[in-house]
Amino acid sequence: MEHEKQPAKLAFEAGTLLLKNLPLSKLPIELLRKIKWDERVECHRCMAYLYAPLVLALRDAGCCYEDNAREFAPLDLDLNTDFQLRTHQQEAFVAWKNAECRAVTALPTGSGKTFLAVTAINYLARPALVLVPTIDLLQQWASQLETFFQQPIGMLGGGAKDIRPITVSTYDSAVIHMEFIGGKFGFLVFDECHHLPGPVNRVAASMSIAPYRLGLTATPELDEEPAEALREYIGPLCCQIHIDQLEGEVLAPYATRQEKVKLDAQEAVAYQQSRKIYVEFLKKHGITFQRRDDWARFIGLCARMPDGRNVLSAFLEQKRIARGGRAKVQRTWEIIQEHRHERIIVFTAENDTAYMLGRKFFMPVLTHRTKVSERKEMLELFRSGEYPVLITSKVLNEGVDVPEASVGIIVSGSGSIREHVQRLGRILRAADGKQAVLYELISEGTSEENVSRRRREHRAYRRSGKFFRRRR
Amino acid sequence: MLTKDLMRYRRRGDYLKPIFIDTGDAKLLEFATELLAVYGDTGGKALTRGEIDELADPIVKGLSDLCLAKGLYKLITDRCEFAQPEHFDYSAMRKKVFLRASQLLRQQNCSFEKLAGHMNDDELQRFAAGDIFADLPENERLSRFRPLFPRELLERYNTAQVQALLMYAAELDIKVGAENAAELRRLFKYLKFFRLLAKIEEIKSPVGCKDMNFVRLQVSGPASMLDSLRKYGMQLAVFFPAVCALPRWSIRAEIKLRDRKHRLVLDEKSGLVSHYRNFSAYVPEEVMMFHRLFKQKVKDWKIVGEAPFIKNGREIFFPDLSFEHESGKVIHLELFHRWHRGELAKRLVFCNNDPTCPLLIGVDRSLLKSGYDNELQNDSFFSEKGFLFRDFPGVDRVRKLLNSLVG
Repeated sequence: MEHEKQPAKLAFEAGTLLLKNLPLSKLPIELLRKIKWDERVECHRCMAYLYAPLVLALRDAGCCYEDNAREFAPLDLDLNTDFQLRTHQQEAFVAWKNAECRAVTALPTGSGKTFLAVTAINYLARPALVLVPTIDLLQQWASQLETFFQQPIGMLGGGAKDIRPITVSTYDSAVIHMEFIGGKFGFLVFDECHHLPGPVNRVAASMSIAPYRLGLTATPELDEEPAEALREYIGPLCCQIHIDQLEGEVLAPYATRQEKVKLDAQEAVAYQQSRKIYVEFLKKHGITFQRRDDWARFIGLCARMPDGRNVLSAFLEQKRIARGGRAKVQRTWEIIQEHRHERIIVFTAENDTAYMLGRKFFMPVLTHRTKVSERKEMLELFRSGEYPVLITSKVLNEGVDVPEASVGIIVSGSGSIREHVQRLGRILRAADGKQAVLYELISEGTSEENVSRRRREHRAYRRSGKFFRRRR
Repeated sequence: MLTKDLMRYRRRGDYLKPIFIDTGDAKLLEFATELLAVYGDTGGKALTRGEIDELADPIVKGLSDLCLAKGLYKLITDRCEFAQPEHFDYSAMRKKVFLRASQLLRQQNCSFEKLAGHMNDDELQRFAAGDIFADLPENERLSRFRPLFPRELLERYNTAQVQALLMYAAELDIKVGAENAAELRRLFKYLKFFRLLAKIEEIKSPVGCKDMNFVRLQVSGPASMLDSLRKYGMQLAVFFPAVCALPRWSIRAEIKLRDRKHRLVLDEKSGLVSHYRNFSAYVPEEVMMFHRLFKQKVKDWKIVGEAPFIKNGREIFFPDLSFEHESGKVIHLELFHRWHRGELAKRLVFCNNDPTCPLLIGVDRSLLKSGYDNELQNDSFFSEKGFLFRDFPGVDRVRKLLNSLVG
């Protein structure tokens, strides 16, 4: 009863809200389930992301409250652009506003997700934190936001720790710092938000009080649990537009070409021998890779069994040949030569193959090991056309803006549909007369055929007449 | 810190039991000595990561337990810092090579095998003939190594096994016994330093340990109770060596590994050695003088050391002195100096919420700056149970306040 006489008090502490004098009887049951009594500090506590529903519930119940959690105030922003939202962006923006400015929008790569976020930041005029998965995207977003808002943009990650009213952070850095800065921002933008639901990354969303949230992704398809996490920490999927709906207008027309490449005779023999050793070992120990811990079991057995080291070597060798055999290297070079007056991105599954190609072709390789200054210069020279080719493993899979690229060559990759769609997205930004083409090289008769089948299960690859197979 | 693939433990029902090594084992000590020697003096030329790996590889593979060998190697590698070669600008040279190869690509159809022969000048040709990515991390050179003794390495390995498991814990239930307040105080400093919270209760000393203070702590992160976050696993792991530095300790933790919950139970009998340095408590000269004078001047009170005490199961106090009246009543004294302003403010909030707290507060006058004097004099708890002093409190002042509390 005493609580009801005193105003409720909200304070931000280490990614949570400390709640005193809470009028529990006046709060909705779904909110009460998420609030707990903390005997360590003798008051109620809940995760910081519940700030908005809690404040709204207190207001609805006509309760007084003292808000010591919020450390942000409205911003005076001046958007420096003549750009207008295009039809599909307008549709997404309206859908997001209708979802109380807490929602996920799914737009294809190259369809202007950044400008949608800029419009939302300008609309809300609250300190905003943009979360991105990579250091390349951190720099790209910071540079674009600076151009749009004509003010210094904070950066968190890649060695930078500079918090400003508009800040860009990697997910990794946000996870570390959110318990300290979670009260400072009113708006969170989650770029490539399908990265958020992981058990570690979601902390970046749950420890912030930001009442307004926007999730951006080109690939919103998730399993049930991660999809629920996105709904909880950002909001519902309010708008989804597919690649093929924007092709030819907003996005460049494109073709996908799958090519089967025959291993040369020597490598074919080596592949079969290594594959046999590996597969027999799997059969002997009943490993099917259907169970989640099968990979750990395989590695464990390789470490313990007398023939384990040979098996591990055989596994690596057959994988190396399938992913980067001599015939594939040769065919990659031929494609590069065919398109030598265009801008080409070569994708590999792992760094070793990327550096192998870089050493053979004397072309720039961009991986997570590339120093920040060098990667920045590489992207600039690629955009300007001085480098026609950029070889990468995974760091360019997502988000990085290389609108000039029109040719993608997938030398190797995983079975992930998301990765495959994102790689296609790299070459789809529209430009006058641009016709994008994505090559996928598969070593014939190897496990790559199955991997390729898995990753092509997306509507972007199912269009009739848009891709053809070629056998070499 | 050991990674998941380097953890060694056995499962017994729901329990996980780390597989510790014998830190006195001659064979393992020899192995550790050989491995550490790789990082020793190499005639003034620092080794590259690749060279170190190459030298260490046969030693690592020479031990029958590869997981153990790799774990020890990882702990040593964690103590290394590597630096890029400074004498050569690989990025600049690569740029020249890439620009030249791009130019050649645009100009003509040629096989990639011939590119190296078409570089502009001798320097570029020589560079292209070598490894153009020679500055990748494996080629970085050792710039600093924090040495340790072979036995220390083995001791660290055992502690690291527990730490690796704690990375998958959300909460740690600890019972500790300390011989003096300084030991417990250090534990709580680590707790604060790693931003952990604890529910604290004083527990009975076991038989044979009557001279020790025993405390139970349920340690977790602020948000642990709301979400089984793995976020605090690292903090719990780095906090653990502060626990096993105490003479008596036991821990219980729930470890979530591969979607299964396990229990980890350990105590001081495991023989773990903490690498957090254990400095003995230093008693300043003025404290000893206060003890002497108090004994001479005051007869109805006696100083009973500096026993920590707990209020409301959440706050532990480390008084600088504790006094016992002949009636049995115990009052503590906590002193705040100029660098303790934040702590003083927190203590006053707590004591004002709980005015029965058996605590006297002494504040060094040097702390009174920027108007804090007024704030302090207006504080209701301080006006009753507080006093000011310069450098160290006088016996008469303390006696007067103590007597006012026993009526």
